[in-house]
Amino acid sequence: MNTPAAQPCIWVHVTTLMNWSRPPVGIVRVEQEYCRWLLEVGGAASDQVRFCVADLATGSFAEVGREAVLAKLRPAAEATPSQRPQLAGWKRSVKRMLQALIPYLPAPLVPRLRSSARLAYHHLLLTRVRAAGVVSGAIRAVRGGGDHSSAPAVAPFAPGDRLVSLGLDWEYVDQKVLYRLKERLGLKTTLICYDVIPALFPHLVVLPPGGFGAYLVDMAWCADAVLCISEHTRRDCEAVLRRLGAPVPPTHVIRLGSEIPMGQGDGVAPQGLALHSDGRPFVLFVSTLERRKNHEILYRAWTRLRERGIVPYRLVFVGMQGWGVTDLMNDLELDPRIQQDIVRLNHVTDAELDWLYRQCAFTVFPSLYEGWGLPLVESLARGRFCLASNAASLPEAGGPWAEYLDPWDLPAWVERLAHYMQNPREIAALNERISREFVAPRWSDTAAAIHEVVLSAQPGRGER
Amino acid sequence: MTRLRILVLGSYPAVHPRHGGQIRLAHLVAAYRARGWDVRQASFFPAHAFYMDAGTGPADVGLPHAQLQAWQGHAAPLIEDLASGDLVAGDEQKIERLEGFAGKVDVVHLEQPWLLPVVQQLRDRGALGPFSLVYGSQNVEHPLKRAIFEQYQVANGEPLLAGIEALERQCAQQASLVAAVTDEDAAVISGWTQAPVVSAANGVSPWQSDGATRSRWQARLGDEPFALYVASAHPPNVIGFCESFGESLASLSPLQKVVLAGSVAEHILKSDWFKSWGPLNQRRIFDAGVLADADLSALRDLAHAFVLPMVSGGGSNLKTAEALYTGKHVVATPHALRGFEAFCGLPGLQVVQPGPGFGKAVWSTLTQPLPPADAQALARRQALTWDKTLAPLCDAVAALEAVPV
Repeated sequence: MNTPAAQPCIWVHVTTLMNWSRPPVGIVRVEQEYCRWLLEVGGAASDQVRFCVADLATGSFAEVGREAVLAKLRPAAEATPSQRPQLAGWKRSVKRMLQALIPYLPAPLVPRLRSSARLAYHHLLLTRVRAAGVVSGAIRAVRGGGDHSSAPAVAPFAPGDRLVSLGLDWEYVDQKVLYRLKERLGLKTTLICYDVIPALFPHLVVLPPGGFGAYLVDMAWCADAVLCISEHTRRDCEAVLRRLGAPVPPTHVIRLGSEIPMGQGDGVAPQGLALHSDGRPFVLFVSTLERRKNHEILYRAWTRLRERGIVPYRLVFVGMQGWGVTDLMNDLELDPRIQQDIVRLNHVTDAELDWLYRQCAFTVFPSLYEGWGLPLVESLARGRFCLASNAASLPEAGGPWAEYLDPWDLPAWVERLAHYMQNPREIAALNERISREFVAPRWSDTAAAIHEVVLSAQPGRGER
Repeated sequence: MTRLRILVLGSYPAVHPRHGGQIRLAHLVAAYRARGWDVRQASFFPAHAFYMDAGTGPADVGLPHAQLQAWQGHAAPLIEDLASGDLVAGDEQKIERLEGFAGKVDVVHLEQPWLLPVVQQLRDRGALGPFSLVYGSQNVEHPLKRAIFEQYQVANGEPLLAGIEALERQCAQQASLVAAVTDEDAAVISGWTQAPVVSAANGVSPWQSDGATRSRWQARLGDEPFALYVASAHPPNVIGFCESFGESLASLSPLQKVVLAGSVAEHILKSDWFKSWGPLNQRRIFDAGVLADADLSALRDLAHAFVLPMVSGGGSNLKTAEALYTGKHVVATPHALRGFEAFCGLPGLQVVQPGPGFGKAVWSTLTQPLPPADAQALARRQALTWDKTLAPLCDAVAALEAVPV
């Protein structure tokens, strides 16, 4: 249902946000912070802003009221760090059971399982939203499933409107529908590329159904402007699109915010760490345990340190177990050399994470590829030096504040880790300097930069 | 003037033709008959179901596949054509039956070189009387076979390739007249013989589709303009498609597609090229499969553009003639236009090198209206029908009457 408007609207696609019920991960955070900025800071500019969700089942878009979006933003804005939204008991049990199964499932099943779960939740959400009368009548106009590419797309957009989408579009958006709407209405679209890992290193990720290449290329066809979260991502994204023969829309680099609201007090020591406490300092690695993150190199480095007779700092892995690390998990469980050294923590609270950052000697981030490297920047934002991989965007993310090593150069990791463990004063000095001088990018600046691109996006400026 | 008697020897059935070579053979026979000549046609070919199930002519002979796996002591795959000549020539019964079917003839037209040993037997035995040989070349075969050997990694193929080249040269040398399908092939063959070499390109049989079939396909394909690629499973057709579009079909918008018609589709979809970006390519492909004539006619009439993505293979492409004949957009590689160079400049025709530019040209044509109707272009396209393209050959055969054998 098109609403006549004096000025073109800016539509913010928020299906991801409206579906999300957990603490925000990076992608959700971007969508969330942009919405928050529009609604709470954007002032006059937000008058033209409206929100929409997509429905894959009907191939349609529908408007979502501001109150509904604000309601989704509110818990994160108002809750204390420890007040996380909790699933009901039985749902939490089912979810944990499924998560525990993931390492044992055939790789191709994992994305389907995740996607099916998300989509099921998405439809449940839409049903609730419709029942509450939040979604406009437009969404009811089209029913039925299947390929909607040749059906007239239903959406509340008007000719000349702008659309920005920052979320999990590969799961929630039928790009044929979006392209058709764009062609029909002259929508000026701004989309985002977080990374092109599945195209460059498909062996390191679980591919989403439908194939990442198909998503990326259709994203390029639909976008008048593409936001990239680093220069490296911009280069890789453009290179992949050119390689595939797709159009290359204008790309714009935005810096993700990373200011951290440090909790009051010293936080709370995680129980799992306290059990292994022997007074040694520890090194922190905050990341899902998956192949791409390269926990492997740290495990090997710690065994080498032991073999050299060095009593190393403890190593704390914080994150849930992901895909492709079954053998590593067995090694961590069974290798007697590192039983007193490597600690795995999962489900840590914000207060516990706060404590971990305050107490760690330094952090490590040996990832094989990142589109940006938020954990590295967050480490710096918390005043902790990071020994990081030199791959992809990480040197760009950490700048002069971190030290970079080839992620596969085991001797180099062993040497630098031993060096810092044997020179704690050097680490202390680095941490002190970072605390004093490093200024974390602010989310409000990120949102303002996104908005500037959204307002400037124009069709026909790309490279064909 | 006596009524010319012609035996046309082929390497596949001419009745119920499906692939390009069969279609040319069938039209050749029809063109000779249209001149009032007494034409008899016999073919020898591997007894594949593809041929046997479609129906064969009264003198056609399917040869056991197992006996076509070696030529003069060299075993190899993909040489059934080469092996067939010696197999038939060495079979007294088959030769006698052929002689009985042909009777006395003035001309033997040998389409493709494979059955030259049979022609030699017929000449040596004399039952057909003295005759002139017309060699119909559809390709310069030995480089084409080399490309196929390379694609399928056939080892130790050199003796076979040398044998094929020798066979082609003998055909040209023994012929009183040679027909080539492109000027380029004609130039090569002219270097082997003193006989006249005429160019007789492949042509088109005008078609007409019916409204009900068009509606059915329209419902399946939707309203968006699409490009059509019609081809057989002949390896250069598969290779050409994969190489011409670059690394993927990403140059097409999310709403555009290429419709694949013919047995080429199955092979493209199985190719590493297609699978390496499978979902991306899948969104831009519609596999129409092997089609009945009525369906193919409907698709031709519904298509907004035709793609001719050839990068290898000899001869001229029947599909090129058909695409040019439609008056719609045609995006062709230079190789696909072999034999049809005279049609460069036709409205809607874009000749594009394989690579990124090819896909972009297809995208571009699908965003443009159909080429405007143009009386001059229409007249030029009429020269693409079989009766016109084979006329130089028929004229040259007619002139053979006066030539002493």
